Amino acid sequence: MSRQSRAAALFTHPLLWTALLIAVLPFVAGANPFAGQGGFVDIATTMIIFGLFASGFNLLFGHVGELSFGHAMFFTLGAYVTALYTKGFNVQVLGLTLQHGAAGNMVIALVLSLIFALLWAWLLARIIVPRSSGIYFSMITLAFAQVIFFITYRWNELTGGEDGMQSIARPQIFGIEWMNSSAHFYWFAAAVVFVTLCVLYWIINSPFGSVLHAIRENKQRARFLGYDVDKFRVNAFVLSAAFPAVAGWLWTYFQQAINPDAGSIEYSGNVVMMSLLGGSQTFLGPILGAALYHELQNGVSQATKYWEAWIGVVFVVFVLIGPRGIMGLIDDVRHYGIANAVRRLFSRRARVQTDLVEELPPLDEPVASEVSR
Amino acid sequence: MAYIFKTEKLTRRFSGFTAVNAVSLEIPEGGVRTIIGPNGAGKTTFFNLLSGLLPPSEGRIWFREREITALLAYQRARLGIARSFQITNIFGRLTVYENVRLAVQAVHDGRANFFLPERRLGNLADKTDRVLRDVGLYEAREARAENLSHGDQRRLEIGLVIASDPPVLLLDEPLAGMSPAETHETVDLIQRIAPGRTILLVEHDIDVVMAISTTITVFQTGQVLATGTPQEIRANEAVQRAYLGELA
Repeated sequence: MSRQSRAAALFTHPLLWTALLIAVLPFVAGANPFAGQGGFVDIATTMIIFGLFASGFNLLFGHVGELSFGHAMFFTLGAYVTALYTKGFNVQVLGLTLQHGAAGNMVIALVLSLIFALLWAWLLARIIVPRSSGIYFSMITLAFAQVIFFITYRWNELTGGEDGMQSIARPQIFGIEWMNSSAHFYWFAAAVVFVTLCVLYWIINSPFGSVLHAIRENKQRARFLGYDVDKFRVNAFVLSAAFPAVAGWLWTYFQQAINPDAGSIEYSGNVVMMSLLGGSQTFLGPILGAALYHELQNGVSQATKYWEAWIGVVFVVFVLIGPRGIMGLIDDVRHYGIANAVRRLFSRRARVQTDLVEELPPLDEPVASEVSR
Repeated sequence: MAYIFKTEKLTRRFSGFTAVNAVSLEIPEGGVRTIIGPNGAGKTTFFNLLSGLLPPSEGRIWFREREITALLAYQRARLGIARSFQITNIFGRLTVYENVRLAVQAVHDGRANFFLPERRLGNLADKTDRVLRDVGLYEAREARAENLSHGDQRRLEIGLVIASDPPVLLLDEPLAGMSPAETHETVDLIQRIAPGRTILLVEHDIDVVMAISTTITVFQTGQVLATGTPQEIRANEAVQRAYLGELA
């Protein structure tokens, strides 16, 4: 590789842009330069936590082509496990007393969150992945997410039911309450998110990741090359659950409270929206999408209480004119120049090529002609 | 003689219609074995049964002394049974290079590695380049597969099939829809890769079939009508009545 192309590769490296985005977000998130108002660090924290959540979801959606409509279950699992570990609990299950006192080790909380989320994901994956794909897969993941949601919603003694749990302490570092400042917590979360995203980037660009792309493009071909497609899909599902679990762990510490909303259909749907807004076939897409989503939420909710409707409108417009998301638009500008990219945006022919339908998994994979002709 | 495939009363029915009917066949190792027959004779279904795309309704299949009737498609591919499809079957939105690299990687020990970057997987890149040169697509390696011409896409699929260096190739109408020039190049390619392998071919172009086959098997209504060298098949009266006669 020449020095020039190496420099270009570095300049366009997604992890560089991820780091830049994370570095500037606390200064621009929710900022209003006309009113002389700077960024809100708490909005930025929400953005990066959801950026991590959406990126993990997108490992399955953008890279394997499977739409899970229940990924909030892993987010909420990570969040509740952290909350329960931190606050302690004392419940009766089938005559047994389950008991745990309050504890404060954030590493143990993280490991427990991951163990629970991964175990649950592995169990689910073994059951549903070989049996379903396409729309059926989406519906079954949604159903299992509802199971987790109702457990957190109804099991009052353990989870606090509808109210959830409050006043959860942020972790201390060597006995110092450094993280109680919003800005400090942001940089802690930023470090965790960035390192975790590096791992994700690594996975996507590994041999394993390229097989996922092959499966997304053509399951049958992958099978006939000798890949055990279902095994790869199971592993991708389990891996993609790890990232929402880490995000959930951060979320509990950030909010210092947790309620069943974290596992709701709304949260599952939001990450789909974020991935599509940013561009689901790219690494940066879901992170950008999460930032944009919360920026819109903040901006529009100040103007009207019907902000969700307006975000819906933005989403529809995006899907209609730019189904490859922001990253798709940036890509077009780089390839065709600004004028031509705008023209492509409104041209029917370009749109046909990048149809949303192409991005969503097919209802069922095509079967080669069965009867000899 | 050592056989590469053996079938015993292999049968496949589709809701009442029997596409392959109790075929017992032994296919010896080596050479180009072409399966011909009129439309609906069961040629492609027979391929689908051998490669594991379809489970048989009845009967058994052996591959080199090993029964493979119950093996899934990917397990048979691992054993070295590679196939191409009647309708081009490639990774359309990946580049030509990625297409072939995935095929090479499929038989590599590090194929499912999470953490090694691709460039660290030994000779993956070298092998990929070699296959690309073999099928004459080295210059087009950065192109997206879906943007290739039809003939190049067919050749890319042959590249996917030979990339894992399999002992057996099942090529289902590799020449379909090709121009005369493309046909000529592809026939050359098939003859170049044939030594040391067993090639099973379904093909309609009778001139090509006569030129490159070592043995021809004629299918009719799901059964084997005749097997023999091109000369024997040409001289066989039953075959002439059933099939060749139409073309004369």
